[in-house]
Amino acid sequence: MSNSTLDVLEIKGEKDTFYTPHVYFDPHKGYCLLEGESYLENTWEFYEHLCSWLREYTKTQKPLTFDFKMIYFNTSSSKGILEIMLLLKDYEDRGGEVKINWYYPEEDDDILEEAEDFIEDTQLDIELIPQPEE
Amino acid sequence: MILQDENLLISYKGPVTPNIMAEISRDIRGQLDDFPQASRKIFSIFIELAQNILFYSAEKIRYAGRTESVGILQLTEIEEGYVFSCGNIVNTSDVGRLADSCNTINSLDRDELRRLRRVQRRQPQADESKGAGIGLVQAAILSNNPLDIDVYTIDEKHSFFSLFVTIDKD
Repeated sequence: MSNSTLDVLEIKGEKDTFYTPHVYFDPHKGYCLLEGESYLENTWEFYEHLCSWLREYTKTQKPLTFDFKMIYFNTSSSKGILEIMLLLKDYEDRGGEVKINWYYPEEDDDILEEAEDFIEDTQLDIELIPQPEE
Repeated sequence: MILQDENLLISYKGPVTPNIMAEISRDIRGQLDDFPQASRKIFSIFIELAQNILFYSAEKIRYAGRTESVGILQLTEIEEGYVFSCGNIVNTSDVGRLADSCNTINSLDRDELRRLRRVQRRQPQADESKGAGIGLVQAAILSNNPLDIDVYTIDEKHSFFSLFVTIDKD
């Protein structure tokens, strides 16, 4: 087991005074999910925690699939999301195999534009996938 | 700008705390179901601009053992859309910078605004109190309308700064 020190990272999504996205990072499957809404009290700490997990994972040199399924994030959270993507880009540049999917509500042009801007900023190849709304 | 009282949906003046913000945002999300796109935009704009009050308000009160920023938050329905407005006392020395930011934003087209947002997103989070710039750009992008401001001079040191953002219904 090359990465036996790295555990599954799961944070339950919450909508209370603040909104915490659902996090599921699985080192065994090489799969990461960030889903829901993000408006946090300690935005920087939250995303730094996710980034430090990813920094550990990328040491394994294993493939990674990252699904973003965000339906809302404030501008502070968008800085955190950009940090994650820059880290993934860096991994890819160092030879890591990365697949990124960005799911968005199909009626929501604003969040699609945000994704386009992330692509522009990171030069990552991100698949944009519209989701029918409920 | 004069807003008509009969369509006033939300009006709040007081300490802008996370709990108050949560309460008002629940109301925005719950009440504007007929226009989901507008409701989403108003919610996002509300979160950004209410946080500006936390950063910029020069009026503080003691509330539940904490020092909180005071501001006014309003949502008014007009025929073709909604107007979200927020106001708070600022140091007169900050007015020029705030007004300049709004005027710059109003002079840019959508692509330029998106570029500005990307530049601001990459700025390191050096100083919490300067975190507001990106919120104004975000409000302008989401609303697709110019930002409207109003400044009332209270005295040499203080002014009341109001910001109006119009969100179309479709």
